[in-house]
Amino acid sequence: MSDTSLKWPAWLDEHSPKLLLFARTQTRSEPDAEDLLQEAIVEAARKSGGTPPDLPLVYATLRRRAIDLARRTDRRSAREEAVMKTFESCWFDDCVEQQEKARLIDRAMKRMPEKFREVVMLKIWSELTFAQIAETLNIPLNTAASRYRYGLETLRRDTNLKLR
Amino acid sequence: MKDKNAEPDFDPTLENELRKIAPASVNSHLLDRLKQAVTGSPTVVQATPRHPALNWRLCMVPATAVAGIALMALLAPQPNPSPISSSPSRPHAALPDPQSTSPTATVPVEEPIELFPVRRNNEVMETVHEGILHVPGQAPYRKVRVQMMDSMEWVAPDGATRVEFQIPREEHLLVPMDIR
Repeated sequence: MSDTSLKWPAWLDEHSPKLLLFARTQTRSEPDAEDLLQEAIVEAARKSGGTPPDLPLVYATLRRRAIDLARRTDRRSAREEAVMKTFESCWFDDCVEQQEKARLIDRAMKRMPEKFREVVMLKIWSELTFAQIAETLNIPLNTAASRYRYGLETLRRDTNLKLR
Repeated sequence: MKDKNAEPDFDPTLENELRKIAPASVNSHLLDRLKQAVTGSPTVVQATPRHPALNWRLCMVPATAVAGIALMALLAPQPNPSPISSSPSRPHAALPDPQSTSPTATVPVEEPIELFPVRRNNEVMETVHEGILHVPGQAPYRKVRVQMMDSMEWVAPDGATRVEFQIPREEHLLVPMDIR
């Protein structure tokens, strides 16, 4: 097995949960998110010559492919799936000690407007810089920062200041 | 826990609390798919099944057909029943000799049986109203779970063989509500 092949399992173990989290915010169903994640990783790996790619490249690929997927999906299924989305599984690790908080944040994130949510996701859980977020989402840096601030305000309001 | 990129926090308390919540872990099936996809493994990478609930129902189709054929072979009417008294060597409680009495047994096993459809039915077994879904900014929906039984029946022209499929089915419907 080559050195490159040996690097992939560790890279996937470390990064796939946060990549999947972002993919979930960009799609309407869990199977779509999983397929999108696989396609984006494979495409980014091809661009980086088969080695584990830089994360911003994967996020940008995920985002672009999600837009393509959304264009292919008809309006009717979009409406029905958007309703069902509210009742999908938790996006966060709801282990026993963090269960209540994880579900609280999960509900608040799902209710948050998408343009705020994707910035908060990329900043908090993907640990990208504002410059990387701006590049990934193709928006100005100041816009990324202001959306993040509004997103946090929305989150604080929706969680009703229950976070301590 | 601080931002690894050393950028200033807007709301340090809230951001620290959020960072403590980890994203949900990736299931092993997906992780295997990803590893196979990126390392170019020759094994087939299967996409996530879209309708896993249908699998067990599909298994019922051949099982029901086999059961139907077997039942009909046992219960088929005997056109020339031989009197019990004519076979003194056979006790009353014993099963009839299939080679001599059963009409289906006269047909060689290899010969195909021609069946014709005679009935198709979709019956609603149960309708459960599961409440109203409220989504901010959208009209409410009523969620309805409908359980149905699809049944089809084929018979052979001589009436000796009958096959019946019964496939249970469940649909979840979202019915937009018109509030005035």
